[in-house]
Amino acid sequence: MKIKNRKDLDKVKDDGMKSLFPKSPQISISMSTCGLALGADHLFQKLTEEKEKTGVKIALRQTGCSGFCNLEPILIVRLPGKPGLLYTNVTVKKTLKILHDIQQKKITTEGLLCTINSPASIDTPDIGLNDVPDYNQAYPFKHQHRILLKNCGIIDPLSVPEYVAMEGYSALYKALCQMRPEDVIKEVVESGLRGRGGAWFPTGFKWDMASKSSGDEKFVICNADEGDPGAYKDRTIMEGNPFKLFEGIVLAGYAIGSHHGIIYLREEYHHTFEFLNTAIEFAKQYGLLGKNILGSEFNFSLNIVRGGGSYVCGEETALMDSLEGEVGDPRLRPPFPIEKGLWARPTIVNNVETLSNVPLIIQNGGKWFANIGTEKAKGTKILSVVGNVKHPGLYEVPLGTNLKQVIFEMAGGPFNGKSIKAVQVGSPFGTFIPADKLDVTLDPESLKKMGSMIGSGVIVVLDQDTCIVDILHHLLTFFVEESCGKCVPCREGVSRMEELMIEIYNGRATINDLNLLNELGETARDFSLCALGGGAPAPILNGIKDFKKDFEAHIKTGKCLLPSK
Amino acid sequence: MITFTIDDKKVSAEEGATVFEVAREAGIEIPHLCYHKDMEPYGGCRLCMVEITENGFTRLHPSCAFPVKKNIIVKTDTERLRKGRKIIAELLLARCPNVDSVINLAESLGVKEARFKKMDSDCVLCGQCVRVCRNVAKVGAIDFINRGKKRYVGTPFDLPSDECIGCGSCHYVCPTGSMNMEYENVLRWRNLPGTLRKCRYMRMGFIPHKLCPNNFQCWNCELDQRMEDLAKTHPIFILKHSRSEEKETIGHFEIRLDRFYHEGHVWVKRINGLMRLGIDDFTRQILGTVSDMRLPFIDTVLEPGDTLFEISGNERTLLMYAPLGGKIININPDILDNPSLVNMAPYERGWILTVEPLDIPRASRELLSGRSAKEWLKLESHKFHEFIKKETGTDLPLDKPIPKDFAKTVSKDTWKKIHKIFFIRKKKKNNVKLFRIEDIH
Amino acid sequence: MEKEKIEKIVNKHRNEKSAILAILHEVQAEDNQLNTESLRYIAQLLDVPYANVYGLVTFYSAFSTDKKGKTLVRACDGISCHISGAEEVVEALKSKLNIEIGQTTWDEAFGLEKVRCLGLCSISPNVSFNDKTYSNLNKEKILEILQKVMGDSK
Repeated sequence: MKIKNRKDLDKVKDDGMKSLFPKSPQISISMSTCGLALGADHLFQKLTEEKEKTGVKIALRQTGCSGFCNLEPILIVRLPGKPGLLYTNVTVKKTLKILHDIQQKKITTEGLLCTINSPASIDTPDIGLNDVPDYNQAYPFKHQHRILLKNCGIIDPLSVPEYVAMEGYSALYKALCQMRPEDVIKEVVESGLRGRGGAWFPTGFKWDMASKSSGDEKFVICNADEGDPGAYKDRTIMEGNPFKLFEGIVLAGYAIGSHHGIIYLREEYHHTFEFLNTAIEFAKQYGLLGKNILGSEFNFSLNIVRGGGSYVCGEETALMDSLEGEVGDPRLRPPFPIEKGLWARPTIVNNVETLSNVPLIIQNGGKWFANIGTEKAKGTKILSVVGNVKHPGLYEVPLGTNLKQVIFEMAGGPFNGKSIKAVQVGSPFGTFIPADKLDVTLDPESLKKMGSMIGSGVIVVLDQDTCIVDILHHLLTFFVEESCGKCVPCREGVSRMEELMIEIYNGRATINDLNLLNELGETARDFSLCALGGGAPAPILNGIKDFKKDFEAHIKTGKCLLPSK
Repeated sequence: MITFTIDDKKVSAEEGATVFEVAREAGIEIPHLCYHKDMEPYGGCRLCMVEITENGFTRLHPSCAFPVKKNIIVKTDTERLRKGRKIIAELLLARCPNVDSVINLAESLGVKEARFKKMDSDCVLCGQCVRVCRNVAKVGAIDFINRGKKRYVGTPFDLPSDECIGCGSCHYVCPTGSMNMEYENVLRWRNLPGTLRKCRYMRMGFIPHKLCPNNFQCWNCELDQRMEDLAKTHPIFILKHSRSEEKETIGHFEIRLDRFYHEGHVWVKRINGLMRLGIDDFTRQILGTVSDMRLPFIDTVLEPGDTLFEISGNERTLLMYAPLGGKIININPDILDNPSLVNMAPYERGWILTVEPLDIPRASRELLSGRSAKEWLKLESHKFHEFIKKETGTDLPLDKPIPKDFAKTVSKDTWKKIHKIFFIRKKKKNNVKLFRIEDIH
Repeated sequence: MEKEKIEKIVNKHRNEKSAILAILHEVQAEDNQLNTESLRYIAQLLDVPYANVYGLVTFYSAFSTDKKGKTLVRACDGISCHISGAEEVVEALKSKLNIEIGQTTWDEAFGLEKVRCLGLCSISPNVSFNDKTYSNLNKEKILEILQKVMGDSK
């Protein structure tokens, strides 16, 4: 049914509440890319077989990725009159036990991580669940400020009613019925939202300029290329709560006067591509995309384009060239995309995380958003903490949170009692921060002051058994492989840096070569055409400075400082 | 005129000029490699980078591509720039150690040796050959292959090209002298029988019809020599300026010359044996906006003069008629989501239907194209302006598009008349039923 | 691929040059490679130079002019997988399949590639076999999985 007015929206909300608080038992299994990679499809199949065999009255549903893929497969049980129950690392055996217990009207406690008390909490406290924390007090979700990832892993990502029950689409409804495009832009400007893809450009300012560009046809491009190794936050949003992203894209279109949006999706995300296409169909059925959205006069169409496997196509001008059917060579700027972008029309390119913030801003107001974060960087940031930590995953925290707190308190610090050697913030262009300098707040300004950057929020923790020279070389091979080859400083310069790094690693270089690396790095940094060549030298040059001993060891002996290597 | 400074020298230039060109005129030579005066800037060699201070912020920009702005401060020869250019020259020298032009460039920047492992390439990947083949000769026989350090210029599968026309432009623009057109291509043209041997000027669209009687020995050819003498340059660059653009404006109405037109103002474009249809700019400007449509179902069989589709906007409707006969194969799904697309890009993504024609030669004969289309549109434009003046007394400007709300401002009667005079081309019986977009889905 | 099939795919994408990535994906998905004839015909239908289409195929990692191998094994080499032991997983694959990165087995059953990144960074190392991904791998696990896949495909 197409939602055409407030009444329809309220009805869909009711349907969603009935779905989240069902009258008969319901089991949901997390079936995103990560769940599937850890056997969730096998679990689902076994549950279906068991259900048919025993004839038990239980609905089998799906949910999305929560960001903590090492807790997968995740299973949520919804029993009438009880809060949702979230189980982690379930196996076939455990799942069948849960099913069995449900039939016996018992609650399984093995593997039960927490209860889910949203959108509304169940008043009567339950016996047997007193020791079980609520989602927001349970590890690893506590300490976080999960406003973007609120629904991921909790609701059925393909269910519009469930999203509406969680306050979804109230922002778009408000904007289309009560606000003019200028008002939407005003809220976004007031919020202080900045691009979360790595550039941190003020979003409201970009939209304002685009709305003022002349031209009948304008485009909204959602950059879902997520090429930074270590980053998967965009995938989690797309597979956990795609309608939130769509809502943000339509709001962007309404704000700048565009009627067409394109999601440029990374080629490697096969499952996500099929999934998003299904989500778009559902959105159309409910009148949330296409003609007369939510019963208004506004039309907006959205389609998904798969990339071809190229990191540089995450750069906005290369992305536009790729959409036009060309190779992804970045363009010269000026002219800027907001004047002459896709097919020379005014275009805005925004990251998935940036656009997902917009419904929250419109719903709660720009001022509300500006209360979170630091003076210059507002809102939350989804940090992807990976590497040698006990609990890798997506941690959503207010900007300005201390890095040490994130690594030790939230992610549990390194495992096996090891110590940290370095932490790369803002991979792949971020510098490797030595262990004694980790006391820094995570926001663009503070990190820039120490020569680093926050980028898209990837934090890679390296323990004492890592060879820095090897890691820096690995990073360089990435840049060399992904360089488009258009400009000399990147194509020639960065690849020569990689050659030098191999020589250093194998003890075939001299101290002078470190100076040569510096010269090459500075030239590439200043003279490259785009941010790939421009950003590649930073971690290398800083690494040489901060880990001089490691380099000297390799140069003099050809061997690592580490005994094991 | 825009005034600014380069190296503390006051200069002024027209809007749209680049810093590089202005510097050159002022006698300041900035090192460069991939720049060519007759082509769009590429910005790949990064030798022409200069320091530009704008509003207090200093940044490096490629001067070949930076448009002049008021009061900017440009420095072309700072320490930072010199250091960077030296490294770039060193990198190029390491790539092409045996190419004279690279050796000379490096020497002019003070670089004699490269401290890197030497390759043995003769190509600096400046991209000029690719651009001239694709954008000027409009052939595209060569292109960049691979990416990053594995990139090179070549032909598909490294086999001799079937598309190359032997014009020699790639060789002409190459800065290292390494781009050599395969002699086989010239031979291939020569070995064609005389009736098929086409002169390269004809192949490039400069002259309508000329079979080469000269065995492709262009240096012996009168026409070729005349080109060289007249323009004092390689023929390829005269062609660039004489090529007609594919879109034109007649008064304030845009017409695209790569398709046919029907007197009812529906355009027809042939795409691989099927005919794609849409509305022209004349229709679009008069209606003003498209907020809704009624369309036929797929598989409907049409005859010329049947009702084809109805577009509405600004409280008015226009029913348009089929310019040819055939079967409807496809309706543009984008406009079902977004009818305003028809108004925003009527010649491109706002196309409406695809038809499998019954009789292509007949359709082509009865439709207007090229010069006849232009003349027709000129008459229509004149007729329209006269009509509006008579009906409403308004003199619509001849050089500006029709105001967006025009359709709303004329009376319903006048609108009916406009519809009848300019758009209705029906046949006596029309059987085609039209449906709302919601029912098409 | 037969001309009619290619035509159908190109028409589905409205003969637009901008849809060329999607067209190449579809043709390659069925044929397992993009050969001269297919590329030539696609170029003709879209009215773009053949060399340009070939250039696109060689630029983007997802496309290949060689036969890809019925099961494409993609080992993730992102930074998270790299420090979690991706190297030993890759070595195990190389030695069991007896091919190098970028090659295909002699019977065209398997092809081996490195890719960055699959977006499963908290459960590294990761390897995908066509559309099925496996995570939290080590040398033993990957050999087990490879054995199963090889057995299944017989």
